[in-house]
Amino acid sequence: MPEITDLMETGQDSTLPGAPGALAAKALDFLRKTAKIIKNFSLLGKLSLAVIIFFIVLAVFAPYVSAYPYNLPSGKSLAPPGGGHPLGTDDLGIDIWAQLCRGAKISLIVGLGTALLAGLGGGLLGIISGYVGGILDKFLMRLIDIMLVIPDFPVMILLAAFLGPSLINIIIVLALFSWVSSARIARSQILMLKEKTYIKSAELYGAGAWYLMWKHFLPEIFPLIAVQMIRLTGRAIISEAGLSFLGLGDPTSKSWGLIIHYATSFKGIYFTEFWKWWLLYPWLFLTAMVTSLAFISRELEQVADPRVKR
Amino acid sequence: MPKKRSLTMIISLLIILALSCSLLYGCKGKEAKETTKTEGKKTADVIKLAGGDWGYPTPYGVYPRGPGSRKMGLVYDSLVGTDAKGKIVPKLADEWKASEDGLIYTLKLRSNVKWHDGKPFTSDDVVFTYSYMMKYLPVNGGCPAAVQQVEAVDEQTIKIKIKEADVDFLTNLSSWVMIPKHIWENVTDPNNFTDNSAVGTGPYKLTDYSKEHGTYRFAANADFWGSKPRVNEIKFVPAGEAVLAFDQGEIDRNSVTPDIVSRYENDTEYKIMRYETSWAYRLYFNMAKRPELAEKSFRQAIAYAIDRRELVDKIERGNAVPGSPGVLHPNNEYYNSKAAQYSHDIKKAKELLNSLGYKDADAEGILKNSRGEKLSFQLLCDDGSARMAEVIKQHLAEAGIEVVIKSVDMKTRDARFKDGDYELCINGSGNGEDLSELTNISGKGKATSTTAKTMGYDNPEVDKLYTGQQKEKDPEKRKEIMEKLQKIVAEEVPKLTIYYTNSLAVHRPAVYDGWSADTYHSDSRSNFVDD
Repeated sequence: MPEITDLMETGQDSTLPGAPGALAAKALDFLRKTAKIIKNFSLLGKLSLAVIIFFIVLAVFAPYVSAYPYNLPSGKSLAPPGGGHPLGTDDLGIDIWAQLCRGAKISLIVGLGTALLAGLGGGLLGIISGYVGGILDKFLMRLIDIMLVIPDFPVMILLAAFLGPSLINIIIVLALFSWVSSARIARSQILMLKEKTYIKSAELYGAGAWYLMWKHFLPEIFPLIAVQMIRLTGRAIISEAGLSFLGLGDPTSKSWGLIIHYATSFKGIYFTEFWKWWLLYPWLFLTAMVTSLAFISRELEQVADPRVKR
Repeated sequence: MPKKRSLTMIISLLIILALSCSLLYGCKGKEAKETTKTEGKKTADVIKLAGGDWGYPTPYGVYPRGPGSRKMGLVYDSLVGTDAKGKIVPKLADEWKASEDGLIYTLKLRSNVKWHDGKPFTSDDVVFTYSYMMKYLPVNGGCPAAVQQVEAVDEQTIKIKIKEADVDFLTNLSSWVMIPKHIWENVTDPNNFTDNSAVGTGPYKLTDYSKEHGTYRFAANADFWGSKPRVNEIKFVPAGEAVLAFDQGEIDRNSVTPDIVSRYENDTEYKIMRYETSWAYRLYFNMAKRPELAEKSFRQAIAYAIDRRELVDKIERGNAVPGSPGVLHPNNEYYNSKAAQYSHDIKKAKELLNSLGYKDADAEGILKNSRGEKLSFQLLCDDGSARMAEVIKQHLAEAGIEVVIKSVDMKTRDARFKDGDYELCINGSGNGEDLSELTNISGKGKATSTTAKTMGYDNPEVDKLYTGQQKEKDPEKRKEIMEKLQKIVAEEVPKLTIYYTNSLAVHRPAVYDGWSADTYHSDSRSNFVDD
């Protein structure tokens, strides 16, 4: 596959980095390659990407795309969609569309925050574990074994209840339970890489551990970690929604899970027609976002590891 | 081809989704039923109600909340009771007499009363109950604090000496339940004594209890001293979605919200009962913790800022009565309609706060004191009142007060409320007027009520008036004192009543129609037995 070698090249590119012109050229080059990867996506992948971009735009421009505030009532309570409120209002008369835009931001912050923390942190730990080996490797691997056995969601509920609900806490708790897979993937790659001749020769020429890590290991495994990170994003968003749904989320965050929590705790909502907007839309948004992320991670997986495609 | 396969998958997923949506929606449609007008059934073999764990139904095992004490009330009896109008009625004692100075009450016990295990109930048990409850304070059903001494005159007669004359003493006595000496005398850890210990004299015997599932089963007591229980067995079963459980006949009565009551209207199969209750949500100010709140006009500003009507409309969907600052429900016989009302007025709230020196110098919307500190309070609430807290936060923000909501589970909230570990707190409770918690007279703070000391409120005038009305025998004069008391309380707002809830309950008359019109609690004893 040409894509994977392209990515490798970007990593190992040794054109002079200092000059601004070279930097711009590099960025352009990167964009072109990204565009090429996206062009090779299936229709489903492209659609998913469009959905994610839509959500990112929503999150970034939340105050501009909604006419009403997300935290103050702006109309009659439980007004159906239409009449100024495109997706209706909740029991307090707050515009649902405004809350969903705000919720997109929360979901993305939680998702990306967790993915960055867990993906990069886990990846680094994996590299260290694989490269250094010995006692440290054994220790980390056993730790990972333990983490894999612990049922994560119940412990997350416990920790969230114990640490108290706040967005930062939720990101940390989620990251604590998601770094394991990236660490294992990174380690297995490093074990293979460090036996390669070009690494051996770099070592012979005096390359230190840091140099090898930044110049060779990270660029090499980045595509794999990136796929993992996107997968983690989806999982984190779902977990946050789950915790919020259970009432353990940050009550001031207005995340999608929290909207669902309030809607489902409204007595007898399924026997009224309110669920048709108060519950359905946040659920739809959540499902769309997570499904899209799953499809994108699958597409990227095919790019990073051609064996998947067959 | 993977592409094609995933597309078909998505399409089929969408179809399934659409189908399930339409199915869910279809649930709402009600087929026309042909029901002949059925005469309501006054007795029933089994009645099923929505469960939930409220503790083991003994005075020591229950949770200090209404559903717990009502379950205990099925098993245990007090010496005297009160009817719906507050009149004293005989229970375990069928005769009573107060001494001339009102300090000694002589009660004659009913003869032939047996405990559930067949042993006779005697004056010994009453004396034992008193001394035991003095030693171990029960969670619920305790002896009134006014009692000084209980002695047995003979097997069927007891004498109760009280500290101070109190016209409401017999009413207070009605919450004190009797426990059997032969079961409890050697128990040293009563709160964990749950080994078949629910033996009382009441109309129902506990036959099964599961803490994990929140289920209870009560069977009628054949030897009950009063009239025969109308229902042979009461079951509290788990009901996830109560509306669905009721529709499918898994439970026999359900309280509903105004939004779904239309499902049952104009249908002879169902009967809807409406109640106005004195169960109220209240906002408590902890003046001991936040000295700002000790300022009368500060609390008045909060009362002006909170739109109680809007809270009724949004949180209870209109099915409640906005709170009166004088604490008493408008339909209480002692209600004073002339007490201050604080109709919603943000401008007035701001004026009051400004006059106290809180200014919005940097036009940020939040007021600051002279030292430049933001006016910010933490509002403690339980999960069930988080939405209410949200609205209160919005209302107070309009007046320039920042509120940080701290939402915890009910038991944590109750514990922190009792200990005074809050700044502002939303708590709800039923049963009567609750003016006593504004005084320094009542005993310890409970989960559902507090004391003036815990709140940091101290007004000797309120204490004096409250004890005065307790002693007053003339109803006219008592009303006068109560009106004066409400006027002061409304003026000072040491706590703000947000609203009194109304209750809508629906049942099937063909299954059982003996539900009491006096109480909205489906698990209340009066639904199943006439004492």
